[in-house]
Amino acid sequence: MLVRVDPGSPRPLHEQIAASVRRAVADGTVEPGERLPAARELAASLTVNVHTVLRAYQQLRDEGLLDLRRGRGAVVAAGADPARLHLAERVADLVRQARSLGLSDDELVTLLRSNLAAP
Amino acid sequence: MAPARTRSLRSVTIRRTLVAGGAPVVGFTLVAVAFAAWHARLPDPLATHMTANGRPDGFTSRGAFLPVFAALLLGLGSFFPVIAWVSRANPGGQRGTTATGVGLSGILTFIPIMLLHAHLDADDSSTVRFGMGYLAAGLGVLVVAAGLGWLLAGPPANEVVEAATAPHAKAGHLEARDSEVLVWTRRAVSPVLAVISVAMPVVGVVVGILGDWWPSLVFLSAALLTGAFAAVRVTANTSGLTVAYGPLPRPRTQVPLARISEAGTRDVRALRDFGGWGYRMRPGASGVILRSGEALSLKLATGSTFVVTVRDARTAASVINTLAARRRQPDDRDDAGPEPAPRAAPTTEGHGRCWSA
Repeated sequence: MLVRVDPGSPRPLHEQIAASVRRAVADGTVEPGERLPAARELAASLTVNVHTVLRAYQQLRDEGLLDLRRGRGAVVAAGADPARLHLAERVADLVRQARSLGLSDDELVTLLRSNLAAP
Repeated sequence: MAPARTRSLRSVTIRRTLVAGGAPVVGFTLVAVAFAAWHARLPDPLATHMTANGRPDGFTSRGAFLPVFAALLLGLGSFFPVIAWVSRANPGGQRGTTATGVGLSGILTFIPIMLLHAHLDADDSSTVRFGMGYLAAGLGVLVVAAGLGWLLAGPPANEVVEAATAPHAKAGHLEARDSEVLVWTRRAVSPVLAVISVAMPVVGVVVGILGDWWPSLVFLSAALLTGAFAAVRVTANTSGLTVAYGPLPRPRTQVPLARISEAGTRDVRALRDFGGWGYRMRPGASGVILRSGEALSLKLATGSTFVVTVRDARTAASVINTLAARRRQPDDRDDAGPEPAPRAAPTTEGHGRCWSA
């Protein structure tokens, strides 16, 4: 699992960590049932606060991607579907790309609709 | 590129080799002194093997007692210093090896002395009792002696051999802003060691029920050891590469980033290249070998390589190369220089170069 965090980015740190985990599950470098590094260790590695990592893990639990259990740490949920996540990641990338191009949300939705309507 | 091994690294190795070799000699001397001092008060033969309840069921003649323990202790005396010497490129493993050698010398000194002591003024060695309490105390001695060995082995060479230049541009780098913090981490499992670590306690219990509990203790501790190697966590970050054994942050092996010249990938055949699984040492290469196949290979500034069998090794190598390149002068080899960076590469780019140890 590759975790990339840029403190200089406007994107909140916990979201960057969550995105890294999502991408790792999506591309299969972390498998369902696998244990993620302990929040404290990952935080030390990334030189961020442990609560930042915990917040990312909690967000991913709320998305159904992780199971957080006391004593066992963070485990990738058995139901996590790499293919769907991969799609979600690509949609997130799409949104980011559209924003950076200055597209409004409506314009992006219109673009998506026209593609969905195409045979 | 690889500077000559510094004097201090050599002096640390010599010291550790002497400690690992000296401990069994000192231990045997103590046993011999005890034997000589108590000789007149010892029966013949001596009880040298006990059942679980501490009753003797095996005997050795008084004359053979010293040669047997000489073989045991001095056998160790030749084994551990050799390992300490061979592992001179891996100062971390070397210190552990030295501590282990001293610890084993400790228990192999303590047990025969206590055995002799239990015989004092006994007319018949079959009346001697030597319970499991001695073995427990012996394990305590082992731990204390190992701790002492760890201290005697001394800290690693402070004059570390550091890489002077950045990893080669073609070694595989990550497209990342300098402000970006990169961490790569992955669990690696050894199917072979996992099976062994599960099978060994079973064998130990069977051996214990059918015969003797002493060897079953060996099986149980061996199971713990293989269990620790059966699953590790490999982490690459600004500290370098860390391999943590078992589920906890320690024990671990760490290769500081400054000592890594370049990271790459290679293909490992566990038996052919390293002669087995676990923490393996070979001249010029060492590593954590959990299975055959894809492996991360670190070229160290000392000229040796450190190998860890882990999947997605190419990403790990790119992270290490990228982090190392931030702190060092670029490599001046003819074709060095920044690679044209392809856009939107989410993970790695470039070609992980391979080499064999």
